[in-house]
Amino acid sequence: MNHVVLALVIAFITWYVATAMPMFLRWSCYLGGPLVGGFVCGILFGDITYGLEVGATIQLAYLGAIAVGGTLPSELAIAGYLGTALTMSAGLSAEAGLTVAVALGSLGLLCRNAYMTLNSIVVHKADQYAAEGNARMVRLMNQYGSQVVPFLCYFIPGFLAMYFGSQAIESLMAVIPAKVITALGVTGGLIPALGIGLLLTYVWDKRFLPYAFIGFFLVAYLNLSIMFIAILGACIAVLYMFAADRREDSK
Amino acid sequence: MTEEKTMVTAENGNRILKRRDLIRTWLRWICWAQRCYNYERLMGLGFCQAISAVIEKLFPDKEERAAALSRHMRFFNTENNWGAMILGATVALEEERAMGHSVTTDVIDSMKNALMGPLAGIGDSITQSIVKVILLGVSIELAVQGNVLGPVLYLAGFTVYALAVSYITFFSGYRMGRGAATKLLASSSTKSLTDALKIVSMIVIGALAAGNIKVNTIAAGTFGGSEVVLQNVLDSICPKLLPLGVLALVIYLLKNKRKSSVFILITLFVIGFALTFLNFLG
Repeated sequence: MNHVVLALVIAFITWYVATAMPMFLRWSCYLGGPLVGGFVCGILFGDITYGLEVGATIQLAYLGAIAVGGTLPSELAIAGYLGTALTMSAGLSAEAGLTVAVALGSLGLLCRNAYMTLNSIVVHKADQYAAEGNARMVRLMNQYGSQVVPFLCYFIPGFLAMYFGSQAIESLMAVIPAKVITALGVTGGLIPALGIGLLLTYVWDKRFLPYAFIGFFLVAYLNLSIMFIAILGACIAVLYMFAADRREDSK
Repeated sequence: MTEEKTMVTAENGNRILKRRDLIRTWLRWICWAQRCYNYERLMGLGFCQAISAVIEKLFPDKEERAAALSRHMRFFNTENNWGAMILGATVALEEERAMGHSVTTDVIDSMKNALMGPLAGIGDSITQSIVKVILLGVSIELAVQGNVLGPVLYLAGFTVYALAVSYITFFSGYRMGRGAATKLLASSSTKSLTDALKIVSMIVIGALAAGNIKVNTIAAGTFGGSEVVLQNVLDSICPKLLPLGVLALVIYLLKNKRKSSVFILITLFVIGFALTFLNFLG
């Protein structure tokens, strides 16, 4: 396959798997990115055995990776598809490919942070349409508005890496000040405060505010699982209901 | 308007939503719930787009529809396959509400908040710790031997699992929602039930705040010859003090200052970048 076409195809697949693909396929194609990527690249490069070997080796490194609350320690679409493709186009061994993929995967977190942060803008646009009762535009925002930033963040670096080799990505990264990358990560940690803050003001009820503090400090101090906290909350709620009903009855 | 609808449905014993509407809602969820994943609301927009067609059908009145759409735009996060149950139950409760039954928006919203965490917990552990590990284990073994069946088996297995589990949980959620609504109508203590749901909702939101908002200071200084790391000092007072502070700031801006969420988003960006460049956060 022509070098440019191949670079375009790999970049396209990387973006598509990372953010655009239907969710029911993402479980296999994203969480198993290297394994499936090895297969896909094997077909594209015309050497399935080589592709499977590279993919399986990279996948082993991510076997224990679990996305808790949607956060993974690595960008699996980039590690899986771009990583395998770069390894194969350089003709590296599967083990050498592993280091390429893992390095790319952690660089890929920058792409992830960028779109997870910037897609807030799309959500606010959708808020406006929701307030106008325009359901169709809400769906279009989710469908297409959501893909503007991811396409830029995945397709362009993916294409450059495939076209110029992985050094291109490294020199591109060298241009971006390290502080900017850190700041993006820091901001990504702050933004959930807005989503949760909005939710809290909607359900705001002064009488029950202490319960929010109980939940907060159970996690802050004891790092308890949300499951335990929900069970505890349910028990308190039942006790509260009985007490409230008794008060009703005695009146 | 709603009275008229209630009479019609009561006479025919028919519901407003057809099976086709439900299937479409489930498909929108399992395909596009995470298409606009973002740190601010996570699956908020994904939930809203999934239920949007149902809302259009249930609430022809523009204002009611706008209010319902906005309510479903809020912060939401769960595991897609098992969490489809929440969507199913929400659809059923919204339908009851449209039919004029005494289901309040408070009950619906609190139910969503209370269930998203636990179902994420169940879903994440089953999907990622059990199903994924088993499927990957077998498939990697095959792939290492150069067998194409490896990736194919993995793809097919996980896809069938995701479709089957989300379909089953969505429809059982819908049935449970209807059942719950009937019980709600029968019970006299709707008020205390709403309060009880709010309690679970509040405690879960508090826990989500501590788990999701991440702020760490890297400030350190030398005082009297000993190095003092500010984060350690803060942690010794109370862990997660900074996330709590940021949340308090956001709530203050929203409630007391009546600032728009866009304004707060920009503020957070400025704070994040400024304090990183000042070497305070990292």
